[in-house]
Amino acid sequence: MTLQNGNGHNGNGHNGSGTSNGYKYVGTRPVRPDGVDKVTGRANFGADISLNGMIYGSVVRSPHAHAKIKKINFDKALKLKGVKAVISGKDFPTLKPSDKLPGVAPLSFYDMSRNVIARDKVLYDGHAIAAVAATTQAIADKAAKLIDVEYKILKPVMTAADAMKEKAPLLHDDLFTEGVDPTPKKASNIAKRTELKLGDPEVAMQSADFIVEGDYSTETVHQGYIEPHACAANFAQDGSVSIWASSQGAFMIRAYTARLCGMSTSKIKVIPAEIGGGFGGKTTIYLEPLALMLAKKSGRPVKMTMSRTEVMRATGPTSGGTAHVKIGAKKDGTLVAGTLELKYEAGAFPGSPVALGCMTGFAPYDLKDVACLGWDVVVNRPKAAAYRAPGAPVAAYAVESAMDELAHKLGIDPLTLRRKNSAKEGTKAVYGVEFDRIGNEDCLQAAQKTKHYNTPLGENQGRGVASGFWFNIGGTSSAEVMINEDGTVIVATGSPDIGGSRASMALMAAEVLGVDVSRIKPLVADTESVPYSDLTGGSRVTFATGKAVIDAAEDAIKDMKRRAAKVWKVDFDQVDWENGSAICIENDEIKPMSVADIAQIAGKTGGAISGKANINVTKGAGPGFGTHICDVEVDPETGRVTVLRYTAIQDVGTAIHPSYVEGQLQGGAAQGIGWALNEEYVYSKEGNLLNTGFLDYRVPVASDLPMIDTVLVEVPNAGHPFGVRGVGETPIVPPLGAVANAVSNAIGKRMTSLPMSPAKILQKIDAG
Amino acid sequence: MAKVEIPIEVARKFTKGVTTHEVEASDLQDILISLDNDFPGIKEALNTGLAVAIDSSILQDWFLEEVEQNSKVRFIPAIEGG
Repeated sequence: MTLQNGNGHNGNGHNGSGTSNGYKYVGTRPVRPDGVDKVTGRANFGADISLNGMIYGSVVRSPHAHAKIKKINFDKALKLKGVKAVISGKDFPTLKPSDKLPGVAPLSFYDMSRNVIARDKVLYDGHAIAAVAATTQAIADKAAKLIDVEYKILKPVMTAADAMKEKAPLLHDDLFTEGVDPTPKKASNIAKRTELKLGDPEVAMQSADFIVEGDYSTETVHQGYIEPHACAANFAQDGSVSIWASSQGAFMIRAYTARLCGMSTSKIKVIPAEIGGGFGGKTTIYLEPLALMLAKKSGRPVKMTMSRTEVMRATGPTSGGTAHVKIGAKKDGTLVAGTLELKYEAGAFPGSPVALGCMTGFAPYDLKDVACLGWDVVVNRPKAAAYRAPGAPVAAYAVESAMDELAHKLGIDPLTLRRKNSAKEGTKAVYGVEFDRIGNEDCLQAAQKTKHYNTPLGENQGRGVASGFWFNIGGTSSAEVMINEDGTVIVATGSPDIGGSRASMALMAAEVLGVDVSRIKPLVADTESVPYSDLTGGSRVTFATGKAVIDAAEDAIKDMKRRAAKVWKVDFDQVDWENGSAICIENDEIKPMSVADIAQIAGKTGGAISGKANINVTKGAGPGFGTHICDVEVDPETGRVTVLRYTAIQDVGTAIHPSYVEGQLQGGAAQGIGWALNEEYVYSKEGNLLNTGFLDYRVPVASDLPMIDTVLVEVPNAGHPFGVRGVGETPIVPPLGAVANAVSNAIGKRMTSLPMSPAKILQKIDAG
Repeated sequence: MAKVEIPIEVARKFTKGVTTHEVEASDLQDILISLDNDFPGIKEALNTGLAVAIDSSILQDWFLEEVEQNSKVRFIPAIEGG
């Protein structure tokens, strides 16, 4: 294990002197290849596309949270000069509930289609009902307002607690609770029940000397990416379509759009635009099928761009939810049992990440007797989409708050209590899997040694700590490494770069090839230029696509060695690869051939040189653990919270590009702080979203936060050639608990509801 | 014999609540076929929305993976990510 204290590095790039980890390029900090274009405005994002003859789309959205659509009248809109096409749900194929994406996570195309454009019923404020395309955006927006929709308004149900009531209004009359036996015959808003159990926590709890128990609640929050959703679609004469879109997966866009529009994937090409943040929220589709259908009907390329208001009303927030947690411990701090019940709001269609909350809440702890019960509940809010470490932050908030309370009761330092009970190699998680070598204990130890943790606090100040866990995943990735005529290298993958992955791909290719990273150009290719890759998400790209890049680079080396052997007239096994050159093993008088040397004679030795790899990394994604420390000051007069100091410590495996790893930790912490203190969807009693912009939906900005310090604990993952672990999900798991514990400790009262607005804090202080 | 653990919800529906089963199998498909012989319909339930852990390795996308004589095989909720 090695430690890197972040923020002391200036990010001035690779100096060629190698790193302390034994690698020449891995672990260095070159400037990201896409960086200059992004900061100078040259990069093309989803809304930047412009095509010959392009027209513009606008979406008609429901002003009601729950209503039946009785009639849609397009007459007035069609009379407006400049309008070229209108569409409604009737223009799309009718899908059945059994239409699902095959595979481990059976995504429902039936639900997705009805989310993209409503059929007979609207299920949330902002639900798309129809769309129009016109020669200018202004005309399209005006036409959208002229489309008359007649509704029968229904009573909305906005929270899991209300939706689970016996006589709650039903969103779907064909939804029957899964996970209960026998399957109910009566429809319900409860989509699924998930239960995980190890040992017998009820019996074990009886042996506890101390028990802490509590209820916690959180609100719906949005991923808050800066770039709104945008795309353009263009039909060719042969019926094929090109889609330009900003997303976390071009192949995902292609597959989902094809299915919803009844087309073959071979007819759709998706060209990935730069992406201005995703955080999980761009792992699904909203506009693409609408743009495609409008383009088809109008015969013109159609661009569609969401406003911020549309993003907030109609795209994937993450679930709000409630948690009931109970933890029992012996006097010496040994945990004996834990239970957790989670109720997550899925939004308008099933699929909250509640099962993942159940799996992750207690993961940092070694508990032999533990149970988690989860409820997936539909409500009249936008369909929840993935958000970093889906499901984990809410569960961790409850468990980590209870751990803090327990530490107080026992009179034990909260990090010491966590260390005493930390999950380690061999610990069985509640979902039944034993961990390999993990860095959980290392993170806790590193946290305890930080200057931050050992600095005294002042008046009205509090410190909170919390741990967090995320699985990390692998998946299907492809890569091609192409050697140019001058020996420079192209590394093509199908994985959109949402967190600096192009730099990581270049560094790993450089390390394998022995070519300076400045001579490697990584690019994100379209769906017809590289084989299929899963979307960018789950902290999988540096791990899995990185593996593909390594394999492709090795494949290219094999080709180059073969050519050197041909030139030298020696057997292939007489050629080795060292420091970016082919060398002849048994004859050191033969001058090594560099990549540039071999590239120069490529035509004479068999043509262009490349290496490729198409892999499905089914195992080996090392799990990630982190511990965060937060200091706050609470103004007892106003309830305002100032975050004074924040340190994120995480087992990141080998940090391929430490600056971007630190950036992931800092970004996760910042988003988690916003979740804890400010962010929430505020609805009227009729179910209309009231805060649809960044003025009212308050994400933390730079002036709200101190510099987020980072400590990179590098426990190499044995499942990856360079020891990579995914890093992007874990850092959003601990902040909710860390901030809540800090505020609770500052005011001497337990905060059990997020966000911790000044009003809530004052109410708690005043409660006496 | 591989030790196979199935989710509580699936067990309630197909195996009278028994979550742990000993199965003679050389790969995951063998396990599914063997369990389905004893508990008809369980194969489809285990093939839907579940990842598999063989010992400490979680397989998101599983099919024909081999299992050892003493492997611990667990069907767990599928993992997605942001």
